[in-house]
Amino acid sequence: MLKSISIDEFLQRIGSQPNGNVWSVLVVSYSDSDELVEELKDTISIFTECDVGVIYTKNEVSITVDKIQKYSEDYLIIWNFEDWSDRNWRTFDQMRSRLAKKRGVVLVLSQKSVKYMFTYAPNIVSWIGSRVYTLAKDTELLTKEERQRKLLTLHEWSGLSDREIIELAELRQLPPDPEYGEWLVLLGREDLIGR
Amino acid sequence: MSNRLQLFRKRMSAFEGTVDPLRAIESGYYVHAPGKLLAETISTRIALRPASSHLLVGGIGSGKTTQLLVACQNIKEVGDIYPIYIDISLYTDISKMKTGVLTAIAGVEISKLIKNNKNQDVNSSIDLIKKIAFGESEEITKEVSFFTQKETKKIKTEGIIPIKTAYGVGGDLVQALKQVAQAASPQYGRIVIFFDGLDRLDNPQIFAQILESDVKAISIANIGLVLIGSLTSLYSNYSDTLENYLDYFYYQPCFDVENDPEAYMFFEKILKTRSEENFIEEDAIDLLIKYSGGVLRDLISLTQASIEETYLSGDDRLQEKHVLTAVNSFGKAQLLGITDEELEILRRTFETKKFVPVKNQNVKLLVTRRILEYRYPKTRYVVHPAIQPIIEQIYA
Repeated sequence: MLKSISIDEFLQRIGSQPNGNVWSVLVVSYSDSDELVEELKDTISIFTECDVGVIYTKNEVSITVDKIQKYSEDYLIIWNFEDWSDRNWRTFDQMRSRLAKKRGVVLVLSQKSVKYMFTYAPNIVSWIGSRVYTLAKDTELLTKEERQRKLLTLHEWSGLSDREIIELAELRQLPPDPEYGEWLVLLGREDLIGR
Repeated sequence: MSNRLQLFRKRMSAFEGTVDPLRAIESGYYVHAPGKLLAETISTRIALRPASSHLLVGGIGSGKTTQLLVACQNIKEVGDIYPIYIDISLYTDISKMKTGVLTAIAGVEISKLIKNNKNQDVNSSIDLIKKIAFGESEEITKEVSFFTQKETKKIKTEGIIPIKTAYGVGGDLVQALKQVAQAASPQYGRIVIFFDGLDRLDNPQIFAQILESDVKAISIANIGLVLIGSLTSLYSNYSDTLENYLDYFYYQPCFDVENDPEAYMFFEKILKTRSEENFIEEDAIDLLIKYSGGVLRDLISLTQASIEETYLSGDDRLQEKHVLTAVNSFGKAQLLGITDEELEILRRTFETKKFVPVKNQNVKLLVTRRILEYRYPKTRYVVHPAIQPIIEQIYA
C-alpha cells in the first residue's frame, strides 16, 4: 500500500531536501532495522552534507525528546519504537514543538509502530505528509537509460569521468558534495561512500 | 553542489511545513486569508477590551498558530497593551496539565517583567508564584534522640507544574497574579497572554476544567487571554463549556477551496508568493489546491513533495504528474493505522456525503484530517480529497 522505494531513491530524496526540520519515515521489519540504521548513518551524512546522530529510543518519551534537543548533529535517525504505547506516542506528539532539528529526522519504524504513530500522533503525522516509505530490497531505482542520463548530467557538471571519480574516492580525495555520493551509488560503488 | 540541486533545495525550503510559523511570517510568506481575518478580529477586540478572554479552535494544520502570532504582533502595535506569547508545550508536559498550571505560568511570565521590583508585597507575590509553580526546598532540623542529636533533612515540596492533585486555582495564587500584573502595568500597560499548544491536550474534560478555573482566575487578575483549543474539545460532551467561560469563541474550519472562490484565490496566492514565476504550471497549481482539501499545512506539504518529485524526475517545471505522484503517496500514508470500521465510515461518507461528528470514532477521523469540515456557506463534511482516490481503489 505504501510507496515502496529503493535505498538509493530514499537517499536521493533526502539529498534534495533543504535545511528546515524535514521528517521522513522508513518502514522496515524490526529485525532489519539495526543493519539499516548503520548503513543510513554513513550515507545520509554524505547526501545531506551534515553530521548524523542516531537515537535508540527506550520506553521513555522525555529521554528521547531530551536527546533530540541535546544532540548536536543536524540530522537524526531515530529507531526502536517497538515498545511505545499509545500513551508514549500521544506524549511525543504533544511535545512536537521541542522536536526541531536544523536539517531533519528519519524515523525507522516497523509496520506495528508506524500504525501507532498514525493513530496517536496526528500532529507529527501532519509534519510528515507523504514522506512515508517502505524499503524495497534489491530493487533498481532507475532503468538503464535513466541511469546513463543521470551519469551524463554528472559528467557534464563536473567534467570528470567515472574512472576518475572512483580513483578520487579510493584516494579519499572526493569532495563532500552530495552529487558525488549519488554518482558512486549509480556506479554501484556505495562501498566508497564515506571514505 | 550542482546549481540544479541548489535551486531545488531553495524551492523546497519555501514550502517547509514544519518550520516555526513565526519564521514563515518573517520570511514574507504570510498571506492574508479571505474575509475578516481571525487575527484581526481577536486583536481588535483585545484593543477595545484588554482583559477579555478568547478561544480559537481549529483542526491540525489549519493555521491557528499563525493567526495567534499575527494577533500578537498586531497587539504590539497598539502600544499600551503588552502581549506575551507562550507555547505551553515548551513550558510543561501537556499530558500532565491540570487546573492552576496556566495561572501559575502567567504569574511566572509576568514576574519576569518586574524582577527588579523593590516593593516588598510585590516580591512576596513573586516568591509565592515561584513556590506554587516550581515547588521549594527547605531545610528542617529536628531532634532525633534524647541526647539532643539533631538531623537536618531537605524537604522538597512539589510545584504546581505539573500540579499533582488540586482542582481549581487557589485564592492566594490569584491574588499574587493580580498583584504582579498591577506592578507591571505602569511600565508595560495591560497584559495579554497568548497560550499556544493547548490544542494538543486531547482530554476534553481537563481542557474544560482549565477553561472553568484558569480562565476565570486570569480574568480576575485583569489579564487578557487568548487560548488555542483542539477539535476534540469542540465535539466532546464538554463543548458547552467552550463558550460559557470565555468572552469570545472562534472556529477555524478548513478553507472551502472547492466552493469559495476567495478561499481558492487565497491558496493560489500562497503558492505564487512562495514560488518563482512559471515554475509551477497552472494545471499543477489547480491540482495542488484541490488535493490540499483546504488545509494549509497539507497545501504546503504536498507542494514540497511535488517539488521533490520534479527534482527526481529531472524535469524543470512542476507539472500535474508530479502532483499526482505526491498525492498518491500522501493519500496512502494518511490511511496508515486506520481500522476496517473507520475505513467503512470513510467509504460511506465519500458515497453519501453524509457524516455526523458525534461518536469518538467519527471525531477521530476529523482530528486526523481524514474527514474535513467546511462551513461555506453551510456545514458539510468530505473525505480528504487526497484520500478519495485510494478509497475508490479499495472499494472498486
